[in-house]
Amino acid sequence: MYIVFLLAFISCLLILSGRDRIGVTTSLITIAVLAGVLVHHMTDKLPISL
Amino acid sequence: MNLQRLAFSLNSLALALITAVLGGAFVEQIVFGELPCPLCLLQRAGLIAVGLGFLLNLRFGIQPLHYGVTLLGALVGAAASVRQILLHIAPGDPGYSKTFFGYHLYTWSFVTFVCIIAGVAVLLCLSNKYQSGRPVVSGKVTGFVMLSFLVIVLGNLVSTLLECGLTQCADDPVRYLWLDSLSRTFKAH
Repeated sequence: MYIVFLLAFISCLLILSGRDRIGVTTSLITIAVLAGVLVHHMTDKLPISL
Repeated sequence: MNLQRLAFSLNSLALALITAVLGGAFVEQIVFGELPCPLCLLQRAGLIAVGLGFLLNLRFGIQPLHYGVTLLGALVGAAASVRQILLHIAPGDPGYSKTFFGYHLYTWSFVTFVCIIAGVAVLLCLSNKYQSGRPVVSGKVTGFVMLSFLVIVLGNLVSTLLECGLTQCADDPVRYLWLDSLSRTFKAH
């Protein structure tokens, strides 16, 4: 679970330091990982331990 | 006040409200000792994802791409809320944790995400001409809101690490995994 918050924190730092494109990219990656963890929570099928 | 400036102020207000809600969740966690469940953490992360979209708007100017980030975050957060509502929908199920004005926090979370989606739709209607580039206003209040959001995201990261460590969180957490390990280590010495 920590990985989602870690990615969100990195996104915040990148956005606040003025990195536009990479900030948007990491934000979208954060959301994708969040969706993946939600799917994992519902199915318990993904080979991850986050 | 022109529409662009109004939209910027509303983005600032939205980020402030998200920070306040996440702060309230922290107060409940620390003061009342209620550890967040995995789905509760996912809903918090959904709110943070929504906040990232508003943060992008405040930092780089209002763009549809940033609202897209907000909407995607709200959709995933709403999905996590609905998942938890459905887990406790059977008759006689007391639900998870306390209620607030008659509803559980995950139900309020779903209402919040739906309101965010509606709010972003209104914000998208507010301006018919989006400009990339510098934000309209960048005052001390907005700076404080952005910094507070960063602090609350860091707080969630630290709290989740203390509660779950580097592994999957317990379904019904009753203790902080890392804090307990640390206290046992200190007692052993």
